[in-house]
Amino acid sequence: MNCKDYQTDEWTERHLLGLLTPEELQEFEAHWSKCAQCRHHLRLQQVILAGIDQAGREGMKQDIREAALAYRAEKGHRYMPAFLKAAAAILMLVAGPGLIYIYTSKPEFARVAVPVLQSPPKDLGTPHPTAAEAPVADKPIADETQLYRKSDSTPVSLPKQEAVRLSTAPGVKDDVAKKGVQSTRREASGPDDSLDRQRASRPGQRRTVQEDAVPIHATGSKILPTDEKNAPSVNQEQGVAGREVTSQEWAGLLVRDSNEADRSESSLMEETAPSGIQALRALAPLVSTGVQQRVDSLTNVGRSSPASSDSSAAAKSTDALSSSHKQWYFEFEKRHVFVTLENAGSDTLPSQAVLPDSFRVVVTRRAPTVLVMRWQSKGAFEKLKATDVKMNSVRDNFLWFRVGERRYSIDLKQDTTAAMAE
Amino acid sequence: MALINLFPEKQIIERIVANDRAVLGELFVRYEQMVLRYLQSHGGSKTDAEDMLQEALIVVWQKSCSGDFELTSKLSTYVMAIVKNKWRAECRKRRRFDTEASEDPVDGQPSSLETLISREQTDAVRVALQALNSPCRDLLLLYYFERRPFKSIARILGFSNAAVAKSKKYQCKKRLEKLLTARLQGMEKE
Repeated sequence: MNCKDYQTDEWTERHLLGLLTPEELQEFEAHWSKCAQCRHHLRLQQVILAGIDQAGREGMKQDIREAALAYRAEKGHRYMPAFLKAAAAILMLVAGPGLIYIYTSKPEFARVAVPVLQSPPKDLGTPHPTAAEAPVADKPIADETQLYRKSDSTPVSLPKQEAVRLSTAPGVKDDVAKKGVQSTRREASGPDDSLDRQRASRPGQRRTVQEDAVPIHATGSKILPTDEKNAPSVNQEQGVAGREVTSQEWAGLLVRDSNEADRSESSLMEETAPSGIQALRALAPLVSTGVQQRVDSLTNVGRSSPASSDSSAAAKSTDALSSSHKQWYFEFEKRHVFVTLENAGSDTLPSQAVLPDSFRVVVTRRAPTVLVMRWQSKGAFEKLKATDVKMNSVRDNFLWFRVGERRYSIDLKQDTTAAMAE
Repeated sequence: MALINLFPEKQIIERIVANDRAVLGELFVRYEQMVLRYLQSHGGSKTDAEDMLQEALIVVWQKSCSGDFELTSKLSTYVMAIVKNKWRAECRKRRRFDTEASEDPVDGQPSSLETLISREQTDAVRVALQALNSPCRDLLLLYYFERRPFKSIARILGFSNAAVAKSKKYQCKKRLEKLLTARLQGMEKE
């Protein structure tokens, strides 16, 4: 082939674009190495292709910049991959309803029901008395004791089994226990100034159960029986231990383990403590004993026990409380726990068909705290204010709740309480 | 299917083949941070990163337009491979220019004067190309720069078939050669 054939068939261009076959390339190289015209043509084609490539490259770079600016203006400054958008959408779908649920239900959590009192609460003036506090002159303690002892009551004789139990109570001598029980009955019917006398004579003494129990009543919670005749029902079941409560213990209701040094104080307290406090203190020995005894201490305080020997007292106890209220008292881990079941809006006690509207659990520690549980549908309870008591649910007419690591159940129908070891 | 659509790389190739230049901006925005991080960790600047990414996108464009391109990896992997190779070449080029500045030119390689002359000729081609009318210029760019087949060029420029596009390309190239020859002769006279 001559030079014109090579130029007509665009061998030069095909050579520069790399489209020649090896045979064609060998043949063409052999030709233009000898042909000056073809070399010149090859040089011109190189310049043309280089110029076109440079022009196209610069034009495309300009296009890229303009397209990037347009894309940023359309989609935003930074690129977000599609999977990030999907992840963000899923996160919003999950977190959005959760946040809405939390913030819409938050006021329900914070709402605390005001306890309904059967009678107006008394202004005691000393809601939280401290140790070694001198008695207030214008507000004698006798007024406080009237909360527990509105009227005189007949001393109740203890059954034989009570005496046996007291005699075997740890740290309590037989004579002290017996004396304490008997003296309690005596002092309960005696004048109230005996308490003042004891306080005035012993200003540096530690507080007694009676003093520390005042704040609990000041809260208005119906924990203790308002009538003295409620007390024997408990006392006869659980017995009375002659032990003293110190100011370092919770709410004055926790009874320490007795020892020799405290016995004299215990006997003094037995003489001065009202019967209502004695009823609570009857449960005290069970605190330091085993689980089985603790289970036994789960006692219905608010409702009179059918085992009570005093049938009139039991009836009065039942009447003293509203028929729409149930109360339980038990001790757990040195804490006194009162469970008040309120069935607001209904005159009947809660049954399997009629579930209570709310539960109020009073846990005494250093100061009484209130846990209010609001009844919700499907057997669940909404915790309105949390303490150590955690209510779980109501199933099969049982109120299940948890105190610490132990789970309890209250039979709403039978008014019995049982503890279940985990 | 929805997950596949989250990574529409096949669609990107199809858009490139369809001469949709907006996809270049999308790819640039998508990969600019990735390339910038690489370049900054390897001694480059932001300008270098933009330049390298543009060069890589041009390669992607040319390969996609050639018709026989098949993407066997993620597009980001392919782009980053191009960027890395181009950045290594650029680093070698810069080192070579630094050496030339202090030493004599190595035999077989173009001297600075030859490079300057070649650049003048290339600029002359650009000027001649701008002197062509729009279809001719686009036709030459589509064929010589984007390496598109005549069938694709005919579809883009609205020719009846590939043969028409081929004959048009020949005519346009001859016209460019005339313009360039005249311009180069004028430059030699000057």
